Amino acid sequence: MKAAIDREKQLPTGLPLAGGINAAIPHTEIEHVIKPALGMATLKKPVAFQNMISPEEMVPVRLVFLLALEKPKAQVEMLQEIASVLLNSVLVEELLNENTYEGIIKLLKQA
Amino acid sequence: MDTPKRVLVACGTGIATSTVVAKAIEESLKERGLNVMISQCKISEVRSLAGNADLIITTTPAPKDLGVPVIQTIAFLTGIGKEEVIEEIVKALES
Repeated sequence: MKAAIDREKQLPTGLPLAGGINAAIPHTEIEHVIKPALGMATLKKPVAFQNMISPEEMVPVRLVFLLALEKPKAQVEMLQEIASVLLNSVLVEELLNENTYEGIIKLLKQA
Repeated sequence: MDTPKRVLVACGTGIATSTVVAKAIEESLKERGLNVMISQCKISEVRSLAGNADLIITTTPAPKDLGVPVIQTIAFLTGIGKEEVIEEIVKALES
C-alpha cells in the first residue's frame, strides 16, 4: 500500500474523464504485491488526485480502481479493461449509482 | 515498403499504461496505413532511448529537449481528445 501511495506522489494517476466524473488508477510495481487483487471505490465526496499528465493540476476523483497484480501481463490486461470502462461515461455513472457488490460486478461483466 | 517510423511509448513503469497506449496507437495508425514500429520504456529511460526514436509518446510529464518530437497524452485512457491526438501523431510522423 505504501508503495502505491509513494508512486502516486511521483507518478500520479488522476484521469479527467469525458463524462465529468473523474477516475484514478493507483498502482505500483509488481514486486510490492503480496496477494493479487483489484479494488474499486466510488466516492460520495470527490478526493483530489494529481493529474497523470499535468501533476500541477488537481482532479476531483469519484471513481478509484486500485490495481495490485503480480504479473505484468495481468496488470496490462486489467488496465485495458479498466480503460474500456473509463471510456464509457454511461457505465461510469451507473457504477457510481450502484450500491451493491453484486450490482457492481454485474455492471463490470457487461462491459 | 517505406522504412517504418519508430515510435517510443513511455509510462511510469514501462509496462502497464504504455502497453494500453501502444496498442491503441498501433491500431489507429494501421487503419491509416502508416507503417510504424512501436517500442515501450519507463519514463526514466526515455532520454537514453530518444536517439533511436522518430517520435516519443508519454503518459507522464516528459523531460525536455529530447531532440525528438514528444507528445504527452492520456487521451487513450480517458477518451478525451483522442481523434485530435491521433491527428497530431500522424502529422508528427509525416513531417
